[in-house]
Amino acid sequence: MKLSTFKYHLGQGLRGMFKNGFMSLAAIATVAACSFILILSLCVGMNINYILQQFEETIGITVFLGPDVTEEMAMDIQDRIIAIDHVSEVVYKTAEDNLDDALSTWENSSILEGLREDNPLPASFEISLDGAAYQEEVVKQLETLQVSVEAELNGNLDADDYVERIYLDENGNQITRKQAEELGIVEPEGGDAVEGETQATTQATTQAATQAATQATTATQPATEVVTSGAQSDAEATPQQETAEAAAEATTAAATTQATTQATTEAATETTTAAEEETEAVTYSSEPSQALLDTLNSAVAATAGGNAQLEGSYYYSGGTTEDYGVAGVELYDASEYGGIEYEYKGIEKIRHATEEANILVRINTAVRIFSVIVIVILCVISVSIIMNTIRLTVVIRKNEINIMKYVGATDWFIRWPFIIEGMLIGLIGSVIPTVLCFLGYTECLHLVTEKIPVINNIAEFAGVFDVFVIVAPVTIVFGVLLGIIGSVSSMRKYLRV
Amino acid sequence: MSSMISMQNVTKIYENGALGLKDFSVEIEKGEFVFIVGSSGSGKSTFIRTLLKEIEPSTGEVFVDKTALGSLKRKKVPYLRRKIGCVFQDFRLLPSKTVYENVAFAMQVIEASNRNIRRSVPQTLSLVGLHKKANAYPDQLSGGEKQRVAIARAIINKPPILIADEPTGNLDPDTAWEIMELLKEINSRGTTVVMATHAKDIVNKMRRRVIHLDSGVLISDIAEGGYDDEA
Repeated sequence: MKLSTFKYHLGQGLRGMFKNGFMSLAAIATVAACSFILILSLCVGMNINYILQQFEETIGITVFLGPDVTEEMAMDIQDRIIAIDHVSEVVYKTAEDNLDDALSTWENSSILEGLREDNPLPASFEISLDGAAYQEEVVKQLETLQVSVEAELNGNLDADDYVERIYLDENGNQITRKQAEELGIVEPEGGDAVEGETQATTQATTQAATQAATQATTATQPATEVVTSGAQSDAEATPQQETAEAAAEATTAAATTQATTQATTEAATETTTAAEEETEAVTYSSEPSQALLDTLNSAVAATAGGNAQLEGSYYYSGGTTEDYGVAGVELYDASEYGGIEYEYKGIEKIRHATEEANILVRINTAVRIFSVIVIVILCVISVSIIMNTIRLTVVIRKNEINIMKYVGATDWFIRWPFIIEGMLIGLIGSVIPTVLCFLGYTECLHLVTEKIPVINNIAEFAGVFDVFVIVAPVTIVFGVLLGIIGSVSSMRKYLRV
Repeated sequence: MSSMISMQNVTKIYENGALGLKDFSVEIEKGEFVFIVGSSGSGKSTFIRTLLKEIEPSTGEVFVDKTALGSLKRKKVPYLRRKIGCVFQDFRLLPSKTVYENVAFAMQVIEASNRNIRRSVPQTLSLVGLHKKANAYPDQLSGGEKQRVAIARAIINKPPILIADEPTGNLDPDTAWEIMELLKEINSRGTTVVMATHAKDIVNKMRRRVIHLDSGVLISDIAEGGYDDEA
């Protein structure tokens, strides 16, 4: 396009705007109104997004390490955490770092300086994620990691070193291991070769089973595990196994592994095992007497805190009381590895806020969908209003267009002045509300921070420049496009001459 | 094939069924002055609109300056129209522009340079005898003056063809003659002039080629004819 032609179009566009002053004013007002609503929804949307992001950042995951974890192990764990999907950053904080952090939040930290000698805080990893949406996924992986780290830590230890057992006699009273041995509940340690071997197998298998169960069902860790030992069992392995399997079917896949492994163990050691999972306890024994039942009840109640549901979930197998005498109950502590109160020594604790994160993610999605809908509706309304407004100015100039066609003007030559007019209308119509909203937003931020300073503790609003560096161009482009679309579409009819 | 305008067996039937032209063929040579006569609805307007490619003939071929209009792309139509200057009965001037601007407008539209515009407009205005009224607005002019402005606008880009659709229809006889003199002058400079009219006295006095249409059918085509001459 020649410069003179461009000047001509610009002049014509400006003239058209001023000549149809009232119409142009109406069109500018329409664009301004639409831009205003657009800016408002953008500001609200961006602020909600900004605040949600702040929350998302605060709800990262913290992993606390046990005091026995060496620096070398910590580094190894760090590498394995980084390898998890959606983990964006892992910051290792030594116990000293954490103490420093804690002290810095206190005004009179000197009082606590003494803690430096004996730091009660653990070392930790601060884990940041790609998005709050991945919390649940990452936490699951971390729990798996927690278990495998634990297994590695325990791998070198003897089972007895970390499984403390409670031994009960027929009446449900707690007894020492020695007493239990005397009563024949457990095989005495260091017995003959065969017995020792059996016991070793039992322990090994139990350990493996528990580990397997813990790894598979980290979410639903077995609460307690009751082991009943029948003294004079006639090695009736078949009914026992049947019962065990029946119970196993009722429980989870993880429990199946556990129960089956245990059933095998039982067959070997001629004991009856009662397994129980969380509240839905499942105990299986071969024909226990009333005395045994009582014993079991009290034992389970003592450990699990008296769960009413337990009573209904015992399983009996056929047989008489005479066949199966009961010498006592061996009860695993809940603090045992895999138990609910077990204290992990490697990764002590995983602190997360999965529920909060999920709520945030849902709010975020809803806000986004809502703003998109609002903006789309706005666009449709504005375009139709502007089309009608500009169509009037085009109708007024119908003759002019007609003459231009007869003298041999190209379609684009005729269009340009209208496009420029539409652009100008859109530009003015969007710049005015942008400037006004910029001032208004600045004022609002001032007011909020001055009059209601409390709000700053809850959430920080997005800065005026951060918002308008996006809002201003979006709005102006929106306005100009509206003007152009409005004018081009409204004059299509008159070009066909 | 030196014909400026050529129509071959053109038939135009409008969408509402009205007949515009029926099997109409004509050749108009370069530099001719041709009258198209006939009553209202005889097909004069259809003839002109077909030449401007405002409407498409139902059948037949139309050539303007050797360009076939049937295969002409929509984008090229403006360039066709630059070859044809148009004058209408109702002048079609822009009331918001001065005489000068109205004429210059035709040059701006074809993206002529400002220098060319400044040189050509006064020349053309003096040709039509309106150089003293350059800054007047159309409603300050008489009918004859308005038509002179329209003619100036039509010829400023020096088109090979000038089409005048009843240019004297709104003018008193004396003024009409002045316009006819102007058209003759333009024709004598080499422009092919096609004038649709039903002003008998003008046609009869001019003694030029007359093409007579009735209900879209060619009745007669006589060189140096009169309005009522039969073939």
